[in-house]
Amino acid sequence: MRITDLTLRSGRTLKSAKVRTFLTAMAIGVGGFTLALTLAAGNGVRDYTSKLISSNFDPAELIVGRDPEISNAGGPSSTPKEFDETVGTIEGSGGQNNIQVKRVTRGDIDEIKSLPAIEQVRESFQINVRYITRDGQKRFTGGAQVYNPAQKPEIKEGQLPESGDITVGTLLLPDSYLELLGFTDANDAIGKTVSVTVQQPFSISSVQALLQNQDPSTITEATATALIPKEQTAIYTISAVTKKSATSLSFGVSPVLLSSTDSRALYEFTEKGTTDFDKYLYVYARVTGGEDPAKLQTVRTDLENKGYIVQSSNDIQKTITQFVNILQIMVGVLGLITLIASVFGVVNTQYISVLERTREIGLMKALGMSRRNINTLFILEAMWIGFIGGLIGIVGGVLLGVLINPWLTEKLDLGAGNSLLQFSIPQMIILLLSLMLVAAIAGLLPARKASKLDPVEALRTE
Amino acid sequence: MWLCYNVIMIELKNVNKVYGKKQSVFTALDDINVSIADGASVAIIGKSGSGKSTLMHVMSGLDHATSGVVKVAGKNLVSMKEKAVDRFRNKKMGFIFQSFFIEANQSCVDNVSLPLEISEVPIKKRKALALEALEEVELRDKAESKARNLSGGQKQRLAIARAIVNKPKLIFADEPTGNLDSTTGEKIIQLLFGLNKSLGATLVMVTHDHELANRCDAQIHMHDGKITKITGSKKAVK
Repeated sequence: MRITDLTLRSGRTLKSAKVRTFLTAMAIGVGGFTLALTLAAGNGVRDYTSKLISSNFDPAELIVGRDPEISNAGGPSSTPKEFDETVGTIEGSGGQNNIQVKRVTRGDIDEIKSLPAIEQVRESFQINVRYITRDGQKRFTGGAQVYNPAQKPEIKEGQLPESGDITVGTLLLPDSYLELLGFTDANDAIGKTVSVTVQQPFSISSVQALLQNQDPSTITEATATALIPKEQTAIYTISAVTKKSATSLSFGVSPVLLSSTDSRALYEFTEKGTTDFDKYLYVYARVTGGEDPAKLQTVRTDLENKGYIVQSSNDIQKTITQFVNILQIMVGVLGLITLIASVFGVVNTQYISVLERTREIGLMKALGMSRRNINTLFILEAMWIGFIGGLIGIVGGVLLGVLINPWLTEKLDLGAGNSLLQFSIPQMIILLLSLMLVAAIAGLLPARKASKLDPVEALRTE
Repeated sequence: MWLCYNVIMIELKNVNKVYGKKQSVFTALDDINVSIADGASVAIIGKSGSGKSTLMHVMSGLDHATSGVVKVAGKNLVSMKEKAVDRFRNKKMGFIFQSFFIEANQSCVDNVSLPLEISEVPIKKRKALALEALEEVELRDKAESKARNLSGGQKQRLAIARAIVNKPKLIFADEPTGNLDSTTGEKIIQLLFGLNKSLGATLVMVTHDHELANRCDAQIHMHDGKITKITGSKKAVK
């Protein structure tokens, strides 16, 4: 018998038992539904992650440090290390120990810069902003960072240079300051000025020095006042207003963005004279043509051989992706369990169907149908059930996805244009085919039973 | 009555059929020797449990003889592979059963097409042949209706259409009138005898109705798995 005739015939048989077919198919449908949503959520999260990475990290940039601690995902290591006079200390917060972290020095930066594949090295300036304000307004807390031409922020108003750094003496103001600083709107802020005030850290060593070298009774008010950390205020023109991207990873208040020269000036004012001046936890090294992962890897290996600790946005993406995959597998396993349960449903229904239809099978045998064809006929029936169930589940999943996506985007604060559930057509087709395959496997045993029936026994009327 | 009995259609030699093993052995057929001529109409008659159905099943290759030779149209079914027997049955034989065994949820055309589907006749030719067979049993106008909506007599006529659609050389009928009232049954019998002559197909009928049996060319009487006597035309059955 031809496979098309067998397929049509098995479909017709199922049509004549609509309710039973539908109920059996529903079991597979529930599994298909779960798996469809799991796959879609996986796609969505992975897509969101890569957007997150690309809008927060420059893929061609390597994060270069000196101390393995900076790349330690689980926090500082638990083994005590030998104290090193030359290395600065980071104060532990919340009762944690102080840790010593080896920093990237000026010499290191020069070495990195000397590599032919390195296009540019950016220091990670730590700018301790005291407050941000403008004439006649209250003072507000905030932060300042270096503008990165390779990582342009989203702009609400104003212009960014096509390439290269922003003009010295200008800054990019986050839109969260607009109302606070008394601007009517973003347009109003462009061209106006704001001031950023920084303060030198309080230096305990200078107090110690003073007390050691002088008789305490001779200390005047003037010498004491000189110990109070100095402030410096710089005034900048607003060249553009930025808005926080939906995929921004920064927590809290967005920082103002300054040109590299201005950033350096503020950094030098606050940090000059401290032990850690011009030493950085890590620097950003941009690789020429580093968008190519192979090229990036070559430079990375090169740096690692020189004793640097190197990370790239790829590492971060890998970590997140791995986490997403594990979650997806966990949910997927639940879907698979549902599917396994539905397999027994199909086995049971088909088995009963065979027992009910012994005469029909006997007749087909009498009319000359081979055992193999009878076997195929029943497997095809099971595949139809898988097809119908798969279709119900997948269509249901897609419909639900389309309906709840806007709600999910809002609730999870994903930002407009991002959706959690992303269905891919090839994936859904593969899922449907797999469900049919699963159903076919479930149909094997009943089909075997059908093909082994003794026609004489089946045709007995009494 | 003109009949050509020169060719032997079915030939059984020393056929035994035994069910079960050792202590619980049941002999359904006990050393059967019989020949049926091509184009003859033959009744197998006996009480229930006499082995008449088993004899029919062995002749049609649905059941395997435990020993002996079963030759149909010159081929020994006992030595053939099951698949070959299936194909042989599909091309050369037609079956009619007491309880019709039609597929109630399918249309008359689909019911009749089944043997053609099995023998992989192309779909267009299949429909033409099915309609032709329905015409033969006067069900042409019911072609597209569901089989469940037919009356008992119509259902058996549908079964006959299915049995003759492949132009068989042999028609097996197992108590064809058993589930019908006498008037309808009579029509079915006339149809069967008519086809026996018009198609030249050998008709083997299993029945316990002596009156019906006597209208066949010959009668094979069965009792306890043995042929007790053969009556009627010696040319039809030996």
